[in-house]
Amino acid sequence: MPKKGAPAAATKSDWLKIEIYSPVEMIDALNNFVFETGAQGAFQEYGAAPLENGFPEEDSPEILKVFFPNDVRLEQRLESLRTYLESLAEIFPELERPTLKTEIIHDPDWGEAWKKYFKPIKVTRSIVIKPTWERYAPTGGDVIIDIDPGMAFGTGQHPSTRMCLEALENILLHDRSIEKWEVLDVGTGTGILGIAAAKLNDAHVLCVDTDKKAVEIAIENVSINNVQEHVAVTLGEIATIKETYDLIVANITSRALIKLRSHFHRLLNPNGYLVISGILDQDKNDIETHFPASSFPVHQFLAEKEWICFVMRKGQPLA
Amino acid sequence: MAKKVIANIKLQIKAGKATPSPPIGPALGQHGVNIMEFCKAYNAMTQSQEGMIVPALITVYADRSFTFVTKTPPASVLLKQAAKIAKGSGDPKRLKVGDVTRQQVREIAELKMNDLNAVDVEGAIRIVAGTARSMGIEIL
Repeated sequence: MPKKGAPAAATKSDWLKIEIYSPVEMIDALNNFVFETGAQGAFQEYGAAPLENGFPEEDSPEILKVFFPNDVRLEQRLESLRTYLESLAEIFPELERPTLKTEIIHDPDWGEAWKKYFKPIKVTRSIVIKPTWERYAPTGGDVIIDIDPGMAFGTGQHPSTRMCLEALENILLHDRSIEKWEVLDVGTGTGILGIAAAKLNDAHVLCVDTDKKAVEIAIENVSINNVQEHVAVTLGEIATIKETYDLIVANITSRALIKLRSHFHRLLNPNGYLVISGILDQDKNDIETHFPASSFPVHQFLAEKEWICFVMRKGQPLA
Repeated sequence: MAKKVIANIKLQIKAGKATPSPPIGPALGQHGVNIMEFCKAYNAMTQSQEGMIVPALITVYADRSFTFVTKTPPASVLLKQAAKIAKGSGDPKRLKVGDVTRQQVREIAELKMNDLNAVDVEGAIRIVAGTARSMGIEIL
C-alpha cells in the first residue's frame, strides 16, 4: 500500500490494463502474442446476450483485455505490442486497424466484489459458515465458523468443502474411540476445515499449505475464530511431517491427492480416517485405482453435483 | 424458469494454473463471481492438460452463480505445434518464423470448426490462415 502523502509512484500491485480493439480475424493471434509477451492470459466480455456457440451473433468489434504488472518490463512489452499491431495492420490493409487503450489500475480489489453475495450459510446439521462482516443469531447446537476468505479457497459454499465439513462432523461428533483427536488439514486454503475440526471436538490440528497467501489467510481465520491453542498453520509440503494423525483431510485436486497417497498412509495412525475431496466425478475410477480398498477401505462416499468425496480408513500397507 | 444471465466471458488461460490474479481476477471479480471457486473448478477440470492454453467460456447469472465450459486449445497453439516453433513472430509482416502446409491449415480448421466463428470449413480455413499470417507463419 502506498504511504499517505507519498508520490503516486507505481506500487507492486499496480497493473496496466490494456484494451485491444481488433477485428475478429486477429483475435486468436493477438491472444497468442500477449501470452508470449508475458501476460497470464486475456479475456473478452459479451454482455448478457446469449451466445451462439460461444460467439456474439453479430460481427461486433472485439475487445481483448490484457493485464501486465506495472514493472520494469512494462515499457518494453507495450512497445512490442505496438510494433505487433502495426505489423498486423500492414498485413491486413483491408481490415480495420487494431488499436489499444491503456489504463493504470492502482491497488485493485478484484477479490472483493463477490463478498456482498456471501451470506451466513448452514452447510451441515450443525456447522454455520459466517463471513466475518455479517451478523448471525446462533441457535442451540450451532458450530459457527467465521471466515474471511480473502484470496484463498474455502468458503463452505463449494460442494467439495461442504462434503468435507459433513464428513468431519460425522467422524468427530460420533466416533468416541478417540479422546483427543490429532488432525492434519492438507491444502488448508482459508483454514476452514482445520478450524471446523477444532470447533467440533476440540481437536488438535495442523493446517498445511504450499501457498504463502493461503497460510497468511488461514492464520488470520484461526485467530478470528479464537482457536489458536488448537490449530497451528504452517507453510510447506507434508513430506517433511513426522508426526502421525487420527484424521487427515485434504480438499485439493485428484492429481495432487494421488501424488500424496503414500504420505497419507504414512501419516495416519492405525485405522485412522482419510477424508479426500476436490475430486470430479470423472476422476472417481482414477482415485479408486490409486487408493486400493486393501490399503484405504472406503468408510463413506459422498457426492454433490459433479463433485465427490471419499472417507477412507487406513488399511494394509500400500504395495 | 431459466436463471437470468448477466455476463458471458471468454477467458484464455493456462490449464491447471488458474489463480485470482489477472486476467481471472478482473474478468470475474467485477461480476461478483467467487474467483477461487472458479479457479478450483477450472484447475480440477483441466489438470491433465497442465501448461496448455485451455480457453473457458463462463456464463454468470444474476445470483452470481456461474457455469463454464472449456474449449480445445486455440488455433494459434495448434499452428505453432504444426510449424514446430515455440513462438510466433513479433513482426509478422517482415519476420517469418515458420511454415505450415495447406493441408495442416485445413486439419486445424476442421478440428477447431466448432470454436471458430465460421459457417463452413472454408470460412474456418480462412480464419486459421489469417491467424497463421498474423503469427509470421507462411502457408506453403
